[in-house]
Amino acid sequence: MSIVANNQRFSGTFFRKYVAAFALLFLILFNCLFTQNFISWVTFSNLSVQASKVVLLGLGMTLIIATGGIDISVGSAMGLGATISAIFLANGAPAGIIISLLVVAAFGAFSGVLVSKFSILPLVSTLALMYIFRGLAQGLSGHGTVTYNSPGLTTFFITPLFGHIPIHFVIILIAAAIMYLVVNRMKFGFQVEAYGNNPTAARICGINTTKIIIICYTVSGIFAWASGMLDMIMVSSADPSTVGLDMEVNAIAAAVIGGTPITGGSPNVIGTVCGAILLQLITMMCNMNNVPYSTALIIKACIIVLALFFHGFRKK
Amino acid sequence: MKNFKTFILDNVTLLGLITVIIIGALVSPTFLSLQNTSNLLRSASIMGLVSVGMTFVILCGSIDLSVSSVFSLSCYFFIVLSRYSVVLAILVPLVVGVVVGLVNGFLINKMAIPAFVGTLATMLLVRGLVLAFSNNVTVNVGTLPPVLSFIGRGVFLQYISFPLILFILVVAITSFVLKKRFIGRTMYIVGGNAEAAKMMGVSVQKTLFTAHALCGMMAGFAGIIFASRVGSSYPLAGNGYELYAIASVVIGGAALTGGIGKMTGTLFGSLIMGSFSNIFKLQRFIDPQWEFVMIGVILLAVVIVQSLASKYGSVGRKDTKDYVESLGNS
Repeated sequence: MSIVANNQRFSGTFFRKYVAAFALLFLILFNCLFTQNFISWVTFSNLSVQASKVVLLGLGMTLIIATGGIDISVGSAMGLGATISAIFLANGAPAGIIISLLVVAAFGAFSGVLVSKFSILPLVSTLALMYIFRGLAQGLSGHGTVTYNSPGLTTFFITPLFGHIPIHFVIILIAAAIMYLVVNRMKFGFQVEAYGNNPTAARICGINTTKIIIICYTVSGIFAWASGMLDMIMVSSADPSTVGLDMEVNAIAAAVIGGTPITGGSPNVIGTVCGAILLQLITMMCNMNNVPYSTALIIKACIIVLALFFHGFRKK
Repeated sequence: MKNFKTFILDNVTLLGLITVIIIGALVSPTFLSLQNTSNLLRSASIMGLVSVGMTFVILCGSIDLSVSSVFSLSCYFFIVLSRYSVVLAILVPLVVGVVVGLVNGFLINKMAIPAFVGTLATMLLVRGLVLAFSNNVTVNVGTLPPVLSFIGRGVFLQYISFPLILFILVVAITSFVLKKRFIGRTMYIVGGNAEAAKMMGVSVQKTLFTAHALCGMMAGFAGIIFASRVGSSYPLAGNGYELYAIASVVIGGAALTGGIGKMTGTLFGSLIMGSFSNIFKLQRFIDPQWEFVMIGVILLAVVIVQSLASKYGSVGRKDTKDYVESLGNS
């Protein structure tokens, strides 16, 4: 415990809150100076496209981690949402996208009920749901990838706004802005924080904790759905076995790097966004330098551990 | 009447096993054949060993998600080393499992990282290692030395497989350790109430280290048997075994909050999971792709029933209570 207790170096609250932003700035500066062709609209566009999925998942995860829970089913939820939508699109029924949203959101609400009503450990209920979602997606699709033909949708998402700004970047900004306002300016955000800090105290204070938890998990489901849609639209198809595979780890890493305490407490939206972009930037650097997938996994694991360690959250 | 009720409550897992067997017999005529039973018990033993390790960790109120990766890493080492030395092929995977367990223990104890993220990180790390070592391809070394292939394929009396004997032995030993030995009893106390354990002079850290190391070792052991049976190692081996293991332990009556559970429960739990997965392969009504969905649903159902039971009484912290009472008497 002595190592953890001795974290005076990082006691500055300002630095601590924005450590992800500083790291991101540093990494961008580093790349500007040392990576060739880094400063270009193409890089910016690629980064936004790839980071947008992690940002969306991370925002949902931030809420859940702030309540002291965890949701490892988001990656599979992405896959489920994308597969259902792709099946509907392939059969010429775009309205089915709404149905996929409802399904994923309903499952999110269901895991919220499991966690709050039945007081099941979030890890276990979402672990079971993770395999249920993945199996559902694979079972529904029959066997293999679902492809559809809808060039209009894809064109809309790959056409930059005003000639240069990628639409994914706008999505990141809007989602982050909404979440920032909800978390920092609305009653809901404070209730989440109160619950994360001390669930019993929050309940005694008259906060409807069941409702808060269910809303958090539903929102996370909706974000996972949106993220799955982005994935599906870019390739006009959905592979039920690979869409969103291991994405939950990225989302958790983004939230943890961002500085949301893993044991529950104040959600840090800006931190999560910076953390997600930071992760994606590291992945891009790995890709640009031909680092294999296996090494990228190891690097990610180390980043999670280091982030957890340097933020110095104590076990409750 | 009261005796009957406690009998049912104590043996609910056994009754579940009987139910599953009856369902299996109804669904498929081959289910109860000797050959199928032997196969079933063999694969249930492999997954059961992972569950035995998971039981230690869950008893301490912790959890380990890295077992599936440790399993495939151990498969890899076993297959690669089988060419050079029999002893190394068995020892190295076990040691690797222990090392990963100790890393988990270090993350949880010394760095104060909650178990579910810490072991998630080690899961990634170890999977990365597996992919890096094996270059993401199946490793095959032709025929294994007879000693090594006996571990997974050996049979006595035509139907009693060697993995089953190993599994029963391990369950017997670990059950004894949990019931009678100091380290086993401390696991119950740490899981029941870590604060109280500290006040009683039990080293929480040491107990958690031991539990995680044992869990890693068991996953490594299961990997050895699996690799010996299959004769090759592929990077995705053991994928989803953490779900199987957690489900087996929970079905066996352990509480995920820690402090409650028995090794015999895990034995029956893994037999239930093994039979279930076997039935799923034999039947023709549902596509086998839905297996994970069904296992997830079963896990959720059991956990929900458990939570309802603890909410409305009946199931108490029996083991911990017994232990505290026995302390008071002595």
